[in-house]
Amino acid sequence: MVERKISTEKYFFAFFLTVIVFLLGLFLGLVIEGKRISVAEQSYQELELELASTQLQFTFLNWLGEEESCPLIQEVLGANLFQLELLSQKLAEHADDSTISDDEFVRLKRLYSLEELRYWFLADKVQELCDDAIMRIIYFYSTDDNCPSCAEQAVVLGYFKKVFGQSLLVFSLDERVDEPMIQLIKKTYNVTSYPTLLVEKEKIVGEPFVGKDELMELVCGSLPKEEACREGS
Amino acid sequence: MIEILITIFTWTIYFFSLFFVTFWLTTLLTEEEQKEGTTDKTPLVTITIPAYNEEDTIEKTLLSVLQLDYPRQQMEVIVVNDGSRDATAQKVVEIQQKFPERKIILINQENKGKGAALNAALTQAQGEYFICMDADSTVQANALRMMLPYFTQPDVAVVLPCLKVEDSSSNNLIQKMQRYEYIINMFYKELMGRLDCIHVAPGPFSMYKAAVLKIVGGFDEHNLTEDLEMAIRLQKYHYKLIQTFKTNVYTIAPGTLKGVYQQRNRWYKGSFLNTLAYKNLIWNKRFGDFGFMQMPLSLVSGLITLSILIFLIYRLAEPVIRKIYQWNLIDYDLSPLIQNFVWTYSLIDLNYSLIIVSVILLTFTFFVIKRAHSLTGERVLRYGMIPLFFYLAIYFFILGAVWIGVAFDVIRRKHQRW
Repeated sequence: MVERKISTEKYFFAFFLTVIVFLLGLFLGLVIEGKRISVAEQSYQELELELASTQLQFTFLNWLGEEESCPLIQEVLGANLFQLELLSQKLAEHADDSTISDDEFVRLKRLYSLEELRYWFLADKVQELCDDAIMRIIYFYSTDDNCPSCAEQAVVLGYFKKVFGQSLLVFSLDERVDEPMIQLIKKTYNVTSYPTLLVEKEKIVGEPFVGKDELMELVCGSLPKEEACREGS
Repeated sequence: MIEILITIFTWTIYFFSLFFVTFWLTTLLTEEEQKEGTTDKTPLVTITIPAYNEEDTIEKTLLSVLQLDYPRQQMEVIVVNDGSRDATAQKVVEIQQKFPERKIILINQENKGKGAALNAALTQAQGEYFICMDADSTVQANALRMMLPYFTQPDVAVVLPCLKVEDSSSNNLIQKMQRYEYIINMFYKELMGRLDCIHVAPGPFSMYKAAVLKIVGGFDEHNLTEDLEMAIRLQKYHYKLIQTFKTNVYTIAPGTLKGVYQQRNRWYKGSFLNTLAYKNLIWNKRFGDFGFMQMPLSLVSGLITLSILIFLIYRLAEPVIRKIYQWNLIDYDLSPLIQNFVWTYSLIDLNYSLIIVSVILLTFTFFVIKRAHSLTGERVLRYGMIPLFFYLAIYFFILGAVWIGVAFDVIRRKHQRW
């Protein structure tokens, strides 16, 4: 008869080694997570600086009554907003992957949301100066299960951003971010379901989201000179 | 919710994959290879070839057996024609006539299945050792000389040669992919042998002690995979099964996906059903690692494969379907997206935890492939990169498809014969 045994030591050793490899992976993940937070903070500071600079540029141009510089300031605003949107999006993705730094990501997300709103106000002033050459949309979304159509809405808005470039400024706000300013806007416009769009100051709620054709009509109503609107008419 | 489940599933699969690879590599490094003894005895051996409609291959198989380096008077060959409807019997008679000095017995019987054919031969066999030889396989001339010395160890019931896919210039990609599978399986089986965990004694040239076969009651005549059942039964009676790399036997691998499906369906179904039939061995301390690890693994391997398959298909198909759906939302007007495309991904966005575990797992995989080839005397890139690439990239999906079929068959209680 063969002498049978259970290789307990081997099972434990293999388990131990596997755990080590996984801990190594986890450790590396944490290092990267820390790096992501520091990059996000650094980017935020750069965007703050950009905002301050853009605001000053705007104030200066406004003071001069110089409307010809509108394209320039629009370009700066659009580029900064693109960067802000991109970083916000990445921040949201990293927050989803995050293992232990949830609070840090929540704080950063709040800062980024505030930054979006600051740009939104600045864009309003630019809009006044530049005679309706730009259009602003606030996009309220939710990251939990009560917004099954947010993914679709984001795709449509992403497409519009590509079509209209810096003439269409989209400010995405996560309704769950615990920031009084966001709650104030929600209350002011009675935003209760998601996705909801604030096209300028008009609340638009899609069924279940605002589709391409509907949005095109809205945008072209405000930006009739845009090439995409002329092609369609 | 589904994302959380997928994440948990991903990490569980990674964990257990890494655990088992580590376990077997530990076995490779700590357990000694099974050593053969020395013997100059040449006992009588019986080589049995059960055949059913094998007119194309029987001659080659018989000739390969007859050229074995072993005293002629100490070897008898029994061909069991299991109700073939082709010229198998006639081909055997021709060989008998061509080699009248050799002891070649032909048993003709109604079609009863492989187990019954082997038992018919076992009843008539005179040899101290009983060798099963599939009628589509060929064996190296040194096989008996290399395998016999292992029987000097006590309790050895069966010695298994290194089973490889027959080398042929006409082998297609499907056969070349199977070549990798066979070699890696041999490596794995040799490691299993070191822990007395071998659970199958394949058809081509498995060499049994005839007395042991008779003690345990011969082959199961109603079993889908009688070779697998016999191996488990030998384990149940605490006999030793040895895998050697010292000699090779070559078999013809199926050259079509349908052929692969049919063959593997029978194997996997047989493995599952036989493991179920011997469920009392599972986690039974008396059976050591065989009961603790091998039997449970045999039982759940199909489930694991199917789960991974569904997961992989979801992971691969979901982004494609999602993209098409998203494009549909914008009426497939992709030109603004292409014209204004900006690369926004950076190195910091990668999932490094997953990458490090994947890299380690992949490194182990390549190590196993390299080591398996080196131990079996083969070259990894014998047929170039393409078969290796396809083996790594798609072979799992083929085997997964087989398991889907097995699952359906088991649920519908559909069985098949050899």
